[in-house]
Amino acid sequence: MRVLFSRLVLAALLLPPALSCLPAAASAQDVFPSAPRVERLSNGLTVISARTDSPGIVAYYTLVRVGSRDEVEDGHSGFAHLFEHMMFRGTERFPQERYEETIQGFGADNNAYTTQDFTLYTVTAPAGVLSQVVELEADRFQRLSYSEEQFRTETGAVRGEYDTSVSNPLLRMWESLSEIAFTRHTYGHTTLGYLRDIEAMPERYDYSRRFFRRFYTPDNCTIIVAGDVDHDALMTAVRAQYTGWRGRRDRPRVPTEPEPTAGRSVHIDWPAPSTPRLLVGWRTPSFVSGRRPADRAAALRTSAALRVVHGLAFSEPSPLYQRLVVDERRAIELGSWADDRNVDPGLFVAHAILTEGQSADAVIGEMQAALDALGQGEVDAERLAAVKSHVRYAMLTELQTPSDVAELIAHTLAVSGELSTLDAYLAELAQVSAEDVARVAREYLGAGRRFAVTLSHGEAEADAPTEADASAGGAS
Amino acid sequence: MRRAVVAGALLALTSCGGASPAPREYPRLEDRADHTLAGDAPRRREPLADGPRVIVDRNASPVVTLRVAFDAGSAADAPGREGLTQLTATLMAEGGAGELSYAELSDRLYPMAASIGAFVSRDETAFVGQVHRDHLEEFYPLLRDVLTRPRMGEADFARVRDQALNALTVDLRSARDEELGKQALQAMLYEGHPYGHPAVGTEAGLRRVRVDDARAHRGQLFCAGRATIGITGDVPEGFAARVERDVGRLTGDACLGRAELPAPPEVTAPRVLIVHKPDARAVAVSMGFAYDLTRDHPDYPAVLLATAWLGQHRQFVGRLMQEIRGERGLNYGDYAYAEHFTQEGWSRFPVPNDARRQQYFSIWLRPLRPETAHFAIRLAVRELRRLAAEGLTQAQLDHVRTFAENYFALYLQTASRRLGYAMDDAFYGVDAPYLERLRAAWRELTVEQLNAALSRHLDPGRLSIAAVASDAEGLAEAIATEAASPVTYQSEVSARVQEDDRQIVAYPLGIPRERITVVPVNEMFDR
Repeated sequence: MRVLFSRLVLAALLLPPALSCLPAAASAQDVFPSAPRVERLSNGLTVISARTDSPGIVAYYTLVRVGSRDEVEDGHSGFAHLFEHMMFRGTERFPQERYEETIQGFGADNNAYTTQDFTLYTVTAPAGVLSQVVELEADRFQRLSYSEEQFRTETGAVRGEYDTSVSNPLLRMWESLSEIAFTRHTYGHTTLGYLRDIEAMPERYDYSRRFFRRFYTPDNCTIIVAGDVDHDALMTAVRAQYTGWRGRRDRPRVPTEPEPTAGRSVHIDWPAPSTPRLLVGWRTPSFVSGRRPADRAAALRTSAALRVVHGLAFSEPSPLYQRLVVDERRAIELGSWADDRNVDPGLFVAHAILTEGQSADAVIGEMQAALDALGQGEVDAERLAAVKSHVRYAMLTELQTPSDVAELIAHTLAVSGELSTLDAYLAELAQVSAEDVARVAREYLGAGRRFAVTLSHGEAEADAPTEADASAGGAS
Repeated sequence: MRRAVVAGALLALTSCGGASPAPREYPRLEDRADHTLAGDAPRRREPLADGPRVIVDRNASPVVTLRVAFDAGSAADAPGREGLTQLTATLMAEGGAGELSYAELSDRLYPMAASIGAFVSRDETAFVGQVHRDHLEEFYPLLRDVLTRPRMGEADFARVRDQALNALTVDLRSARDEELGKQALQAMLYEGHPYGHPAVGTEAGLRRVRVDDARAHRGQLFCAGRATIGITGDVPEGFAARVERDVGRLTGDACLGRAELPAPPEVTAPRVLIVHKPDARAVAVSMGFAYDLTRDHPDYPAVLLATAWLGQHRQFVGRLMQEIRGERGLNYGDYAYAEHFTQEGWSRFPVPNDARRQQYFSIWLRPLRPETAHFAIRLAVRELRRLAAEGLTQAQLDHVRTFAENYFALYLQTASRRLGYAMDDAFYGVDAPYLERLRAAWRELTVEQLNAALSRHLDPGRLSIAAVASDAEGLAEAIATEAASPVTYQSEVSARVQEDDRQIVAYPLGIPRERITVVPVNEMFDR
């Protein structure tokens, strides 16, 4: 528990996304049951509350803007995630047993997860104990304290978490895709980290203490409370508990990934029986960038147009899906990770599981052809409208619990820094035109920016280098 | 559309001949004679109800959910055609309906971001539709046609069958060891019983079924007299009556009442099944026993509470979690269940409409490194035996009761889930709402009553243990010979844990080699 390891990977493939889509032609006012209220303490801590119609329940989420993106030192992949585990090991005032006993006494659902860009601590509890939750959370974020023995024991749980997915080929494919698509940037390793680094974690106790001081600082955290919450009462409790918190976020130098000049592919020969699978990523820009409003708007327009491309090219009604999965039955499954957003330039990811004997290279070629056609302006107006409508209604139906609302706020802040980006993004999404779609497909989704991992059991595909070749090429 | 059962894992057709050949000297599960098989006598059928049962909650929620649940799941698969119920339901949801092909149906649903899914468990098939109220009028005829006028064509049938075969032969056997362990446990508990195969089916069963079987199966099972309709959200007046009328038309001579279930096979001594998977890098473990405790039983609240103490799903409150992960760092999580449990999405809560007429108690240990698996199994069995023999103390009861009072309220956070639980109450014939009944029972529960209930229901002497492992023979031998199973920790553990460990490393499981079966992975659910 405590972590959702490769949420990015498995959420997209195994389950419907928890929340994700942002509406077209809607504003945040349509999305949230009531307008969120935002305040910032003098130490830099931001507090956001959003009332929802959820009698007696509050979601108390703490967003820390640290993820595997910040793991710049060699041999330390997976550390943000490990640290997330350590946050449950207690303080002097509330040692682990007492912390657990107290929070269990509330009947709270207490968990956390880590992504490339952020770590999110998620407590859902009865509204009546909010002030006590504030006290507990304030204590551990300021005064976390654990022994080296506790640290070493927890690294075993992280290893165990890796083992929960080790039989699934997807984890290995995602590791490989990250490696070949990012030769310098830290998106080149997964949030779980390399097994070799996980195995070295028990020796990193001192580093872990420094990690806490570097990233668990008020200016790097946001408290998000959704549900049956009174903002003023919340602020009183928060001020009483968090005002003394000090510290400034460390800014590790995250390497810039050069623009790709050519795509790359790699093949994995999987030891267990498997039909052919493929995972393909095209290098895309940041979700939002720039300082000037016009630059940010342009970046958001690009992100919104890419979101629309997901729907046009890879959704269930798309021609490609209908042909490969339904009519020709060459694929068992086909889709894309429509809701990924990143701080830095990331990947537009599509995936497929093929029927036995089908060529992964041929399917990658057909994916590319579908994107190239969009790039040449073959964008059907009716389908464009359908995708925008889908995105809008997906969001309206997905925001049902306090946790859903808190997560949307957290994700927005994590990749953009400001809640107002949500409104700006929604405005851009409503404006996405056929020309925007064609432009982003041409600029970002060409074969020269494409990275592909194929996997099969038995014999390798002829023209892709094997995984061993890729490693020798210096990836990672 | 349907994403649950074959979730993401839908893979392609690989015959199990594609798997690495496994040695044949292992005895097959069904060749073993130390447990009684259910008889083959034809099962009696319950009468059909006059029409669908309807549960409506009209409220302000803009999200409208319709759940139409039939009291027919994979237990209704005809022998030799295992997987037929799920294939039938999937084909209905994903094969087009009325005037619309599957592609056209997808096209209609997409702009509304509406969904129609079919979810098949052992005793229920639920068709679940969700839509924003803005589109209810446009959406409902699509759901109605899926239920009443599905196309069920040959080509769509071939596709969903390929997907099911892949979910079984590639995904379950190859890529999801934890799920394989859970299904292996149920195969042990329900050998020769209608619950014994996964809803997705068996390889031979799936290869045998034809589209005509699915069409006929639909006519027998998905009938008004076996349906419960649930509706929640901001629906117009008269809407429920319309749904009731439409589902009420699902009648005909073919309709059959639900077949009565045989008793699960009798187990008289602990036993082990190890699935031999040569490439497994970790060991997945599930253990449990079938028992006579469903939600309508007066002891259900007490046993549920004690099970939360032993291992509430994905929380730290449980004893197993604290001991195996918290104190020792041996794996990612360790949980216990008073009834079958399927997690909903990324939540920590069970899906509704997953009710069963017969239940089992279970423990799930997340994957263990091979060198620690025997130790962790010993630890879990020891905890279970202690719980059954000694029960909880007053302090332990008080703590878990305080936790559960509020935690179980989180099961009911959305209107859709509240609806599902109300339908489950109807399935079990319980007259008080789930949470209210639990809270009322827990409030009055004394530690003596709790422990008496545990001694009535928890019987580790009938424990079945399932594991998925690469060195299956090694694990079997270690268990059979009661070999010492010391573990090495990353750091020094507390004196209390060291003391416990001295007992656990040699703790007798009492399972001789003849009660340990090893099965090659490609024989799991082959027929």
